Amino acid sequence: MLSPSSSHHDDARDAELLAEGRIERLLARYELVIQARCIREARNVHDGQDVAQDVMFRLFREFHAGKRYEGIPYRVVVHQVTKWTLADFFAGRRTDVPLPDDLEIREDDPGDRVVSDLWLHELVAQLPEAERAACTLVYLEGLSPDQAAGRLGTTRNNVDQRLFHARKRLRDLMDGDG
Amino acid sequence: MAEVDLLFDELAAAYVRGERPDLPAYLVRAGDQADELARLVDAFLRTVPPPEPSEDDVAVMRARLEGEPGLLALRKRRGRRVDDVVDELASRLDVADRPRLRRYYQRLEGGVLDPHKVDERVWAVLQATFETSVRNLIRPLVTRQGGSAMAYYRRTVSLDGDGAAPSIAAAPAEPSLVAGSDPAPAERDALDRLFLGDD
Repeated sequence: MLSPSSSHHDDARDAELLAEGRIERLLARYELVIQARCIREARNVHDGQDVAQDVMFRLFREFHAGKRYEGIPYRVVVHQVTKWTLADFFAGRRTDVPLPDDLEIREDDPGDRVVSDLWLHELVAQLPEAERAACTLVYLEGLSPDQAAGRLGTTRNNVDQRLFHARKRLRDLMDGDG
Repeated sequence: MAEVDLLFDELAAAYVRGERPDLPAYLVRAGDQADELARLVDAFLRTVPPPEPSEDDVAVMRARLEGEPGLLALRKRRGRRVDDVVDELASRLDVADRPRLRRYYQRLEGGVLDPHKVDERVWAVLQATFETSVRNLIRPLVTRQGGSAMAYYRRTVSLDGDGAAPSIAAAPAEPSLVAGSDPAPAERDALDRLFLGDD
């Protein structure tokens, strides 16, 4: 379950894991995040999985080589390395070689807007109460829509309708991602 | 309500519960709406903190970094024998030729079978057997030359000390775990197609 403060807590947790050198745990946490982005942008599961594999390898190499990107949350580093690797993929360059040492990550990079600026719990908090309750149960607490309907004393169809605006905001978010 | 929305809600809730949803399987289910589902999932995963991985997830990732196929590591961690898994596959997929099924499973587990060609029904049985998606665990975390990430790191440190990138030629010369050749039966039967696909 995700709590409203979990985003900040998570950045601190990532930093702690990194400081302890527990890179395998960090990679395990972000594997699906990386895979989803690669598959979406490659528009092909096979290519997306291959590129995601290379992103993981690059992240592993970056941190074992001692790079820490001080002050930049790990999730931003993940997305930036993913972005660079996808750029190499689309340019026909090799994606399984180490990144150049002079690459820098900036948290205010416009390309990372969707990583830094919006959290789902904030989006959900902006919704009308009935929608907020349904979205909280399904998207933040992990109940199925049927379970959420039972908890809210309403129908499954009504829950589906209440989730509509949250999904629309997510779609709008990706439309703005270029 | 659109099918893609139903699939998204199912995947999102599973992810938040700390499960490991099989994204490629969801995309297959989405059919011609796969791109739309991929967009929604990508947006969702960018806006929620990732759940803490299980100890199994971490152990399997460590094994993959060492160059070991993840499914092999997971099976050993769960204390399951190859025959236990083969029994599940044979029963649920209604396969009579158990010795050949066993060989296919061992090749899949060992990372010498192209996972992209494996039938969705096989993944579904394995997911039920291991109670987690295993599709993404098949391949160890290796370079395209087949060297494990850990071996690469050790090699890098020993060569350069400062972690500078070694040349491609300096990558460790390990046997490739993913590039094994598939047998090419003259005519594929139903069992062949489960693991090798149709072409």
